[in-house]
Amino acid sequence: MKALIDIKNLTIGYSHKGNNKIVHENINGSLFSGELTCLLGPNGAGKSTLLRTLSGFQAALSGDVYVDGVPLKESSNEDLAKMISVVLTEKVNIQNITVEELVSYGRSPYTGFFGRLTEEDKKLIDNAIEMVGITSMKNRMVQNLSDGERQKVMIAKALVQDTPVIFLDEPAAFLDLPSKVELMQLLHRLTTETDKVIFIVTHDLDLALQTADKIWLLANDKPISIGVPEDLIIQDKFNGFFDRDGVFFDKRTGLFKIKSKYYRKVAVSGHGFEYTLLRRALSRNGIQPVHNIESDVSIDIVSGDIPKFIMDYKGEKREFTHIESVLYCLRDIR
Amino acid sequence: MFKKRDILLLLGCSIIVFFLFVLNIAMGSVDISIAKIFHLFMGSEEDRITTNIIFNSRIPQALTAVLAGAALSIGGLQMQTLFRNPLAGPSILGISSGASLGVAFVILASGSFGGFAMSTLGIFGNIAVTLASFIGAISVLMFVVFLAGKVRGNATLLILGIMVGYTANSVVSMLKFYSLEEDVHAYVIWGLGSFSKVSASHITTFAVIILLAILSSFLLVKKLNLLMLGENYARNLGVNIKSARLFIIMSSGILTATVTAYCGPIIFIGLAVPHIARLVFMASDHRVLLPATALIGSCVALFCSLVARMPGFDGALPINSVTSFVGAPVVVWVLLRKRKSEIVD
Repeated sequence: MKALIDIKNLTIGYSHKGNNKIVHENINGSLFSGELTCLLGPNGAGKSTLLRTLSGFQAALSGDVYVDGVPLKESSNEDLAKMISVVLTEKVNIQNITVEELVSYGRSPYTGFFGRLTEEDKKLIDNAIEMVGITSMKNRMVQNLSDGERQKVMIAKALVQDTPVIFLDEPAAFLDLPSKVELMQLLHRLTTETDKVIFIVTHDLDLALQTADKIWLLANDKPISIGVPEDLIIQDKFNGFFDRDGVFFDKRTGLFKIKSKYYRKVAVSGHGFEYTLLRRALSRNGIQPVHNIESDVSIDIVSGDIPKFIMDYKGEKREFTHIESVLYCLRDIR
Repeated sequence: MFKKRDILLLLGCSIIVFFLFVLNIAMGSVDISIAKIFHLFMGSEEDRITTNIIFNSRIPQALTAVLAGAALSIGGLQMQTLFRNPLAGPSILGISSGASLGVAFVILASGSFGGFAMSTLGIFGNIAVTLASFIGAISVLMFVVFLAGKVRGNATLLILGIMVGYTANSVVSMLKFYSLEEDVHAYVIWGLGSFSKVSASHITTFAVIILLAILSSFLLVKKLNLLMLGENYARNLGVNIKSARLFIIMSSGILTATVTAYCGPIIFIGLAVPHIARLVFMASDHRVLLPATALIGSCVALFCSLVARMPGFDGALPINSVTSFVGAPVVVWVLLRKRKSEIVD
């Protein structure tokens, strides 16, 4: 495994008339080929600034980035175009361009003065279009595609650029959940099939945890944390990185959960799926489900095709089949 | 890159240009039959007056229209792509305002402060006006190029260019305020544009400059294509944004400055023709769009020149009074037709 991108004591930020606005200091890390790496962190932590700096769009305040051993600041635009390709958040808004044409612009670093494509270029373009699964829309106009399809076109453009490194800035933003999952699976497949470095800035924590080979955690005033997702979970890194009131990271599920404030306790007995769902509904309403009977209300769950929720209030029993009715009843007897 | 449809359309446009060119030679205050023109070119026509009209007036005028139409349209296309703004035109960076300022100095200031009226000088006056216009336009172009090296954002550059234009225009209106009435009239006439000011002796110079500028604009097609994707994508594909921007501004600026120097500030063509080209060719690739825009620009200019000299008008109408009147309905029609086909899709 080869470290294609090496970051040494990098400080990122903006420089205006000699005043430096530092976004993050002393970043160290490496990106390896054949690994899908996700960069996670709260808003304003500098994820996009880091990506812009690594892409060569803005200068680092100090420190170095090495692309395959060559310092980034010594590479020309033309050289970099053959090493790093990007998929950005900005929407490409061109009228009258076919999918195939847009993808073919990815070959620009290799074509001549007028951008004429060789047979080999055309083969690569067809190949990339097939890899991301948009062969059927090859001749369609880009303006008529959905956001998810456009994103795939830009990924095909990046593939055609034939670089060992691909950076993607929030590629799944604006996509619905199934498309997000599909996109992440696609990127993961591409990583293993092409042995590229794929580095993604994302907000989709649970998806990143499931698909990424490595996670980079970036937050204000904290050194960057890098590791395999599961290791980071064991080390309990996530709670520190998304420090907010009312939110906590549940290690067991790998999900962020809403920290509920309870003002009431209700005894609940039962098991299975219905039990989990009832617990969740109660928590949302500020009612803490407990096991031992110390409250005046208790709910017993009988599982089945149609589950039954039997409520005992001071000895008076009532039977419900919907959680909605349970919640209304609890509200009434408060 | 060139589909069969593109080649057929380009061929069609060329035929229309040729057809309109011949009509432009034939029609005017004295109508000349097509047969007579044919004979003349075969060398069997002896009529001195007809020969004189055709070679000294009609052909220079038609050639000027062909070249100016193509040049302004290419200049407009370059600005629209560079600024990714459909409302940009060849004069968006204040280049024709610079030309106006130069001409205002010559026509207006010389009369009021120099003591003689330029409008009385005839042919030398014309040369002075052309030179002044060119110097004014190139000065503004150089200033904009200097600014382009300083500022990062395209939007900033666009606003700076528009501000330069406003400043030049305000100086022009101050000069107008203090000028003699007949000089102001001469200035207004210049501002209305004309394809007939380029004489037979100057058409070669004009043609050589414009053809060279058009040819060199073809060297920028790849950069223009990539700039459509946005600056970041373009840079990531190996484009040096600053130098690309400079070359495009220079190319568009020289085309516009030259046309304005010889014909006055021609409006509308440079703004509208790229849109017509995009809609007719259904293309975004500048390797197709650039020749398409040039040919359609020539068609529109020739057609406007023809309409301006329609029988019934006393002499010839100023070209700017025709361009929008003829062009705007065409753009509206093409846009509406496109809507309809999109709904059917």
